[in-house]
Amino acid sequence: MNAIEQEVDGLPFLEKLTTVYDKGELDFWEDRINPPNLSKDEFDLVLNRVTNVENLKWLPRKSKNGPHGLTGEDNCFMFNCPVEFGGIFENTRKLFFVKGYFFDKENLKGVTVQSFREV
Amino acid sequence: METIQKKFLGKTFSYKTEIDSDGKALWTDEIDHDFSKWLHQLREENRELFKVQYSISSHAYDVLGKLKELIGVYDDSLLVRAITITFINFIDTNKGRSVLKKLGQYKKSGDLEKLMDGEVLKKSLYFSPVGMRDIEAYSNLTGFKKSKVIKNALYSVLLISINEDAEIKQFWEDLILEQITTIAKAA
Repeated sequence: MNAIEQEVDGLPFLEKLTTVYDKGELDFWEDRINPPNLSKDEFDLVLNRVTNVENLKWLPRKSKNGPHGLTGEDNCFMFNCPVEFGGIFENTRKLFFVKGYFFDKENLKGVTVQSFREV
Repeated sequence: METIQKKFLGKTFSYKTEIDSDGKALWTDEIDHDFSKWLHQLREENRELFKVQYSISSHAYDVLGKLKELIGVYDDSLLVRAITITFINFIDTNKGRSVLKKLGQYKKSGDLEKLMDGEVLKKSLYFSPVGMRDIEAYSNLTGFKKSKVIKNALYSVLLISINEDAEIKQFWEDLILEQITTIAKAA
């Protein structure tokens, strides 16, 4: 086991994702065609606020694109996450969709975010 | 590989990357590093792009003055910037959610009204490239204008700083004060 694998061993999914995101490498596919075109900077802020994931599913991964497309895990995760933003004046609640996969298979080094958008 | 143009603060950052069959562009740690370098250069060339205006009441400004003395940072811009970044990254997150909810219960205590009393002062501050990325992203996600993001952060933090509730006080002393101090003094 490498250092990241040791750290995430036994953790629930959300904690594993945030730990790998914080400590590992990131490949982020930014959707430039479908608005609102959320970027890695927005993903940082959302992941920092997620307390629970809804409808977590694991499905066989079809896409082999990107630097870790061939070496990443065979299954990709997808889930929705409700997130609150706010302070004393302004408050808002949003729902986001996230899809991605961990890489590499049997040598965890990072995470690829394939899709991140507001639902 | 294709050349992609990313708009930020009305300027264009160009980078070469892989595009998938759906037209999605790959953003890697290396591109992120190049983007940060580009932002630092942009700030050197045109500091005004990193300027954000905000307003504060004279009473809130007095409370801010006490905070300046407590922290030992006497520049408005440095402190308000540190407060905004701390709010985005530490307070309005999982760590501070329960404190913000509790703070909402004190809305009718009169503290907020007192804080908002007095003459309205128009101010502005300059963000660092990292800070500007945070506030832009927060503004995109919430739909709040940047001036509103600062106002929301500033009044929330000032209210936390004067609140006597045990949980809020502990959060302020154990986490927030240190974060604001570190960010303000690192600038």
